[in-house]
Amino acid sequence: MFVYLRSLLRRRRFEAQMSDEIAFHLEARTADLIRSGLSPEAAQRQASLEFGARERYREECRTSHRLDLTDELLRNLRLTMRSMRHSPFFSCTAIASLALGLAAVAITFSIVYTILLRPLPFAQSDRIVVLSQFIPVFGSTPSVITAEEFQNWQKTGLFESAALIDTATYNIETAGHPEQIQGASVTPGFFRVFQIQPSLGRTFTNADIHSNVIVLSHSLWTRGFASDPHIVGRTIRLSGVATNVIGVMPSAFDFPSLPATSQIMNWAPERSEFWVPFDITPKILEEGNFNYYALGRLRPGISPERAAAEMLPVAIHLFKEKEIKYPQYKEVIEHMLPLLRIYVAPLRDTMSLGLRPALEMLLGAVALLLALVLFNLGNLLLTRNAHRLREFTVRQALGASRFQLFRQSLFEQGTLVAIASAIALGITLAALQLVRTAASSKLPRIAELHFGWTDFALLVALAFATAVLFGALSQILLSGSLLNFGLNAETRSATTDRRTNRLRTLLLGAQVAISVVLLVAAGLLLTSLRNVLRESPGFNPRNLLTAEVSFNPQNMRSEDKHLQHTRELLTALRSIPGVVSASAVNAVALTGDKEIRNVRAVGKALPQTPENTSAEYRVVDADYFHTMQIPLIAGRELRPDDPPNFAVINQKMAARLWPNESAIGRKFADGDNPPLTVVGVVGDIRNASLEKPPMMQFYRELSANASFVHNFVIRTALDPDSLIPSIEKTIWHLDSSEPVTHIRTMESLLSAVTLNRRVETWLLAWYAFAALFFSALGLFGAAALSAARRTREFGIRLAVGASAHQIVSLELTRTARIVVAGLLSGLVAAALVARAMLSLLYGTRPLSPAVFFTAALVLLAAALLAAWIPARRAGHIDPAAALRLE
Amino acid sequence: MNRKSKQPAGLLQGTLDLLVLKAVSLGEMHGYGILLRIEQISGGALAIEQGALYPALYRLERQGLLSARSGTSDNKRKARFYSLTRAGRQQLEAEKQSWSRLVDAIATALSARASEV
Repeated sequence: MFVYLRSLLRRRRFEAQMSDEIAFHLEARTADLIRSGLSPEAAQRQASLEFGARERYREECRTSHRLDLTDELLRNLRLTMRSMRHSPFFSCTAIASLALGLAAVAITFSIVYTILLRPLPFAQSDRIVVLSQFIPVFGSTPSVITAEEFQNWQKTGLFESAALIDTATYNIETAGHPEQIQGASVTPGFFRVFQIQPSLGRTFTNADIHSNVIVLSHSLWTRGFASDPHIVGRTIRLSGVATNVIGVMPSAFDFPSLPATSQIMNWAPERSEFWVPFDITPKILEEGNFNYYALGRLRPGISPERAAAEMLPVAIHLFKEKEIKYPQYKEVIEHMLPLLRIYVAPLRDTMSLGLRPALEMLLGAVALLLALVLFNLGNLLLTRNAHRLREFTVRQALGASRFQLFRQSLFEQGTLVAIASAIALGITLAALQLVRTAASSKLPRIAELHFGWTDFALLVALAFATAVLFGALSQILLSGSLLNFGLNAETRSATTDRRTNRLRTLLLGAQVAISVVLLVAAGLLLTSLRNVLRESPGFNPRNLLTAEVSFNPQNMRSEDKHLQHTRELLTALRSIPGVVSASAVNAVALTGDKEIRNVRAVGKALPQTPENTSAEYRVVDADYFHTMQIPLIAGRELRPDDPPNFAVINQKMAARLWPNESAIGRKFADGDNPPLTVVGVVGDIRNASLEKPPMMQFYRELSANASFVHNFVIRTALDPDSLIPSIEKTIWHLDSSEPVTHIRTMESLLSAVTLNRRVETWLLAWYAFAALFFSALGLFGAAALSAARRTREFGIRLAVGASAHQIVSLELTRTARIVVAGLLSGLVAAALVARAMLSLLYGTRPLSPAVFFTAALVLLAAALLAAWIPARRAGHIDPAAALRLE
Repeated sequence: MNRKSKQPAGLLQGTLDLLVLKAVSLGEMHGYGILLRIEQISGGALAIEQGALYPALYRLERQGLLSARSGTSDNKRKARFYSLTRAGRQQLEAEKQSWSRLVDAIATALSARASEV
């Protein structure tokens, strides 16, 4: 191929060279003739005459030098085009399936590589680890840590540098509007962990810890400060406090710009647009809050596992100290300590935490699909070449060498793979662009999504190798029947290429098996998705809006001021036309936002397990249950004038703390606070996910903890989106400095919590469908070939009295044997795959009989249809016509 | 692949090739020089159309029997100079022998008398 191209490229140089050479010849000849006495004109004419027909010789030069190659190229191209036109079924199927398979693999692999495998853009990024722990009370994801734990872990000497991180939120004014920006307070070691230099100014050091300084992210610098090159040294107002800008980070360091990762893991700040110094004060240490995130750079040679092993005793020691200091928590801590695990894992892995099983599943599925597509290609080539036995024989008889035939088929397959690759490339690039824009806020690191040219080249090479392999294989296998039978006895050759038949049967069986595996996997995921979507969030998400208001510090001076401002905002919101009701809450459902409290029933001795002690705490306005439409099960809802010790609990909490008795009027303690009295029981609601069972939940009225509350939920009569501008206007009318963030409809939140599952399920469903389609095509091709080969035989059978029905069933049996063998081995493989998928399933067993049965049925139906069409045709041939074929 | 091409009129292709190889074996030479030398060594007996030389040169170059380089001629003009490759030298030897055999065979055949048949 390369030689052809090069010779085409050399064409111009060659032409010039040839012209020069001929001109030189004529000149030299003319000069000689002049010297022998001719006049210049006569000499020129004589030289030209002696040379002969110039154009003819030029053409001959081309032929002898180079056109041999280009000629063959053109001839091969012509032959290829002709053979593609002659077998459009083969060409379209082969190209379409290969293009689809290559594109699916390239797209999936690019995404998986970007999210799971691509190193972070920092020096020795594998040594940058997240320091966290699994505390059963806090759920199954790596949890926040205390400042004390961090300090003691840092002292172990496992880390070159480490940093404690807290989320920070400020209001600033950009473009005339108040805006809330989110960033991180970090201890000065933070920038050393990443070993990255600012693009402007400097980062902070220990000396800056007590001063008001800020380092801006590249995105905030661009968006909020118009990329002002003189920003360093300027003073900006952060929630009213004068702060000195000391540096700007490069754009590669928008860490952790992981929008909505809070859904994937609750430890990451939603977005870091800036960094301010974090001072670990004695007060923070004393409070001992589980509030912080930590990162470290491991010393060379220290594995994350070793670090975790050395950090565990440190954490246990601290908990033991706590136990002595707060004897009332003894039981909880004792229960928790054996379950405590330290989480030390590369930052990259943590960013994709929770996505890994699904992505690995998709990668596996796409690998199977690729195998199927390659088998399909091989099978199609074998089938097609068997069809062309006669053509090969004729060409060989006419003097084409075996090698020439091989080169021709190589060329055909090369063209095929090239066309398919070009289509796949187009699909891949378009799809990746789509994924980048559509998923940038939903998947980590997807903005870095790049197309791996080398990977794609590898894929194409694989496809090409397959094509060549099967092209060659079919020639070798068929060569026995070439010449011997091909010309004179088409019918006998049907039995002579048994070796190709066997190989084709094997390939078809493998395709069927792969299809079954993918069908079962897709079936399991579809069942799970249906089960998830059937789950109710516990409230009515229709026509419901949620918004967060970032209060002006003036309005937060005291608990009373806060309460008063919140009530004013609620009154204003309720007066907007189209608003049915409005309420305030500290943690919005479905966002994963939560305040966990340690509760126990007063006067009852229950085992102090996490299920019995951890409860989500919500501070709400009395209108909350009505606004959310959370059903009241027993007792009554909260009232604005309730005493602060009244509480409403959910069904789960009632059932856990007071099983088999009424919870109304009972008392429970929230930590060390005075006991609360249950006045009502409401339905459970889901937080963060529809797939996790609801926790215990309890609610208190706004006046009990007004300073917690920044979120509003608004039930509308109209399309909720249309009310957003009037809601913003109303809030800014009360205080123009308060940013309104996260205005979202509950329906969009609901759809966001199932997004990953929906995407992975439909992707797999498409893979399975494609697999089924291509194996059916393969079966169809095989059945059609067999029917065509045996036309004469069937003619005889029909002539001697066989019924059409018998012929059809004869043909169907042949296909059925392949299908059943493939189906059975596929079901066995699917059982293994299903077990591996356990963590992705919801509400279904891995070995769900319904799913396996349906998958088998779908496959059988598709396979029989594919085989039946050509078989029917075979049964309805005209015996006389078939016999005349001879 | 089919290497057949049109023959120069009146001269067997193999003959011309052999003459070209022989001419070039006497020293590196441009196309016109090769032509003159063929005329010279064949005593002008083998007249060919001069243009027919070039397809032969290109064919021999492509077969790897000749190698060509750009150079400057005696009168300071740019020209292509051909020289014999190793394979060319071997080919020339082989062709010389088979040519001699052919000539011998034909000569023997032509001198046969009726009694010998």
